[in-house]
Amino acid sequence: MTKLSRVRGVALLLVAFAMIAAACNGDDDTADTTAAPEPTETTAAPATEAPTDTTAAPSDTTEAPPAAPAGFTYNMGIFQDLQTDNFWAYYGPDGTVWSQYVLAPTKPGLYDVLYPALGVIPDVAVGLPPEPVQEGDNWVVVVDMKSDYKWSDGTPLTAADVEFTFDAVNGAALGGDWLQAYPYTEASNPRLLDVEATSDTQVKYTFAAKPGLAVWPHNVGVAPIMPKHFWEPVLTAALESEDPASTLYGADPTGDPSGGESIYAGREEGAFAKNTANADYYWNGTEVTQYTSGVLRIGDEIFYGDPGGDELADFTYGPFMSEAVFSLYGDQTAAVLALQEGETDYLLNPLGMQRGLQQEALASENLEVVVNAPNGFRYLAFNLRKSPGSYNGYRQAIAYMIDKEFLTTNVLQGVALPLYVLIPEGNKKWYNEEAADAISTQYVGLSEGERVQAAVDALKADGFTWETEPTVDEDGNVTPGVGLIDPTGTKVAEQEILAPPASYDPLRATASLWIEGWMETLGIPARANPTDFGAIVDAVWPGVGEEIPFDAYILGWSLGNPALPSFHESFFHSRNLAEVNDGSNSVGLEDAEFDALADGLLAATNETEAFDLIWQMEEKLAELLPYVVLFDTPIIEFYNTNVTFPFTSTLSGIQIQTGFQDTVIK
Amino acid sequence: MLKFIGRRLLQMAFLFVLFLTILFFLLQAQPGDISSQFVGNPEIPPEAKEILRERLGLNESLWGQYTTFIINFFKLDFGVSFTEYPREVSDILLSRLPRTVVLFLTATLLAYWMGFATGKLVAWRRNTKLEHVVTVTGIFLYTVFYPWFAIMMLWIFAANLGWFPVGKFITPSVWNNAPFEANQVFNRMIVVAVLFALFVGVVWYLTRRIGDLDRRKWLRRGIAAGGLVVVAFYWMGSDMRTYAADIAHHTVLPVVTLALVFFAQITLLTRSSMLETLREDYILTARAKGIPERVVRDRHAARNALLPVTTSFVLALAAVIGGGIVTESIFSWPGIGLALLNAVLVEDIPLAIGGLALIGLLSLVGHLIVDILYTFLDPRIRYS
Repeated sequence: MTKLSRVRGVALLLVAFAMIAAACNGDDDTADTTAAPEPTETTAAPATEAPTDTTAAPSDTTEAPPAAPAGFTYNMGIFQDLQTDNFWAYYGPDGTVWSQYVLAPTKPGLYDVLYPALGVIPDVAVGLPPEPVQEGDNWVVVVDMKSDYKWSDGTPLTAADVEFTFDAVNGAALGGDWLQAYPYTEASNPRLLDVEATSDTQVKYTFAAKPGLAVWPHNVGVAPIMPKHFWEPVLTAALESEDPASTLYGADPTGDPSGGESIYAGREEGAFAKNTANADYYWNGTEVTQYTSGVLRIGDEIFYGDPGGDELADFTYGPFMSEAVFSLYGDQTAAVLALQEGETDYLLNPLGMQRGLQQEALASENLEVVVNAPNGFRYLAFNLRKSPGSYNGYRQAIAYMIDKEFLTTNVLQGVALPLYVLIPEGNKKWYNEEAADAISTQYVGLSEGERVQAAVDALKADGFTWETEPTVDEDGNVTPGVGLIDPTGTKVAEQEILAPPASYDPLRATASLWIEGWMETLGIPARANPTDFGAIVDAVWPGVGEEIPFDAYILGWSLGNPALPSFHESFFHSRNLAEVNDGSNSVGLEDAEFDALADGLLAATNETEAFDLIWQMEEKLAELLPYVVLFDTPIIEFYNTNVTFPFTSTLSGIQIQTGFQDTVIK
Repeated sequence: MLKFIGRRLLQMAFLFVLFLTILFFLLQAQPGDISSQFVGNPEIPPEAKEILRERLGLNESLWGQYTTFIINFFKLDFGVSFTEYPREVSDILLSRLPRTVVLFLTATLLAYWMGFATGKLVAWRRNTKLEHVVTVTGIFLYTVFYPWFAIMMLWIFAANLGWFPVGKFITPSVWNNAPFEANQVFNRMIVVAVLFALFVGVVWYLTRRIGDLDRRKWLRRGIAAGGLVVVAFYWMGSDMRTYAADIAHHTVLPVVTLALVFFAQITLLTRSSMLETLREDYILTARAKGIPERVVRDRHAARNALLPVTTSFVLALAAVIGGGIVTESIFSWPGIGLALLNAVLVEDIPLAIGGLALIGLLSLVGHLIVDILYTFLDPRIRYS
């Protein structure tokens, strides 16, 4: 044997040894699957009563807990690089969820939304949001602020910072989420005219019209505040440049102070980003108790009633970590291996992990799997601008035909949950189980024959006829119909259902094929057309003034602020028509009653009123059926058992809390 | 020869413009545009969407976008990335390039060196156990489902044995507050490697006329080993040593994984090429003249068997820039391949075109180099 051969022989032996050793090692690590932790499901709860009042005295701010971080490194995995590390750009049109995970915990707002109760609580402000009051033609809100809130560099956070943030957004004409946070444009409804620091600890907002809860406090009140002392020179230079917004977005954020629990500490592109703990975080050491009744205890303050009853969550604010590292992984399998190895503690992913990896995670004794309800839905939309989509009976008939329980359980094998209303069931605060049940009752549990009969009745009631009408015999056997004719006497042409292809989303692709079959049973010529996501978007939102020719499509929405869902207005108000202003009303719904309800929500000034209006809108939508809400998939997340989170059962999962940088314990 | 090179350069220029044109229109023909990403977001008001469209230049006509693109491309202005706006495409590509070069160049060089040596040997030792083992192993590695193989390598050597990190190219704890950026270290590593390669090349050239083969071999190996010692001392004295060692540690597993697959390919290619060459009359003549077997193998057979391997090698070097999407994804190695994949997925057309154009250009240059190299490797080839 030559030297080379001997070397190769040794190498082969080493590889074989390594594989055997790895296999043995793997066996040791593999837990009995029966002993593995079960995933926790988020279950829906009845909607809580709307909050009533603040009963506690303001906290003694001079006794802000000092507590320095204990000093562990919290390792998280992410799957995309940050698009920007400049907060202005992240909150502008270039923002991504990956930047949000790192940067969102660095800036405070006057108020915050507390999960999982979804209650609005004071952050920099003192007490709960005050009601807007009329002042001449305008409406104003005057907010008192804490006097000892500080930026991480020790500079006091004052009302001048709030005023500066508005001036920057307005002066540089920033876009993206800034437009919602500080609605300064003429098109804003209502427009935020001015933000003025009346003293160091008092700020005055002036609106052109009375803002509803959806605007104040749910957008403007929770808007991020930027440090004036750091950004003022940058803004001055930006305003003198040709493109102030781009200049601000492109400015170097090194040293940008934090007012939140984490301080952005830099990144190595393609590898990791890092936050360090803000030891001077105002809320550090504050104990929080949330009750199922909606009452919140934050330190010495109690909001929304008297404490008592079952607790929803109980934790103490840190941060207890010394730093948070966000390591970039290109592949979920590799990331799960890293999690098992303890290289990372938790994987941040807005869509949750692949279900295929769930069994592997469940089998690993050092991994915990949590399953939470998503804040979104997938839906079938009709084009209400043309026949037959314009007929309510037609949409109702298809809604009857879609057996969502069969689809999600038998066809999609339980990976999706059937939905009947737009408000996600996991949004415990705003979900109304009774109302939702009332809406779903007419569809759940129907046999095929009953579905066809109900659909035929709905079509007939609207004046549809057939060349051959579908029939259901006494035993429930269905004979499909042929040649549906609309009330004008025109034979219904082939209806195209645009749906993402299986490579993009197998669930929606499969659903489209079944819906095609159910439509054909009714005598509606239908064709499910697997179409690229971008092409569907082009067909549905072709641009202002363009004709919108689609028949039906299947897409999904990820919803915004769950603390006050105002998306109904975006999706269905007639002022948001896609052909008019490229708005989100793609279906072309123009219903005066719905518009009035949606406008009412924007003007609603208490949560009871908002809750009532939201469910009136849901009922109206169940009647109008511009969308048939289909299903959604739960958010599956994994974390290493060496970390403890304050709670894991929450809408949209742990990722929506940016990994609990303020409370995680390791 | 110069005329030939001139003609080829002209052909290359024409082909390149054609390539760019096809590339541009193919990517434009993808359904939707970048605005698809934000149109679906109800949180972004219509006016913000319009601002974004204008800012990204999506309101220009297709022809306008194309002509601007071609002109700008030859001014080395690849435009601005849609997804990393307002960052220049060239900046993104340049930041990704060193990482891809270090990983894939190392793997390619290692694989070709080992593959050629092994292929040459197994062809020479036909019908021995060595040939059977190497051939079967080579076929397994050549045909293995690469994503599975890469994940298995990760599972065995990183997750279970813990010898190497699970993906990534640096360890965050090591790089906390590092005085260097990773690319600075990558660039230094590349420079040192290139200088070492040049040194070895010069030694090879200067020692080529030493008649005593054994003496020449050991002299070359000795000098190369001395060079390696110098390199090692350099790194030990460098303030980048910790960071370079960290990168090197992360590089081992993906390099070995890639090299094993490339190695199998090159071994099999060299073996079949050698087997063909060994049937030639001039090999028989050389043996009949009593030339030592090693000389017949290395100088007469292997040199001729080198032609297809050289073609493959040069083209592989060009492809190095493109990286491997699968490798970079599984090993979380953010190089050009991963950047390209993301660019295509989110329809970041300037970045996708910039990356693909770079690969196209390097492939064309690679072909030219192969044509020129052939004339040196095989004196029978002459271009008119």
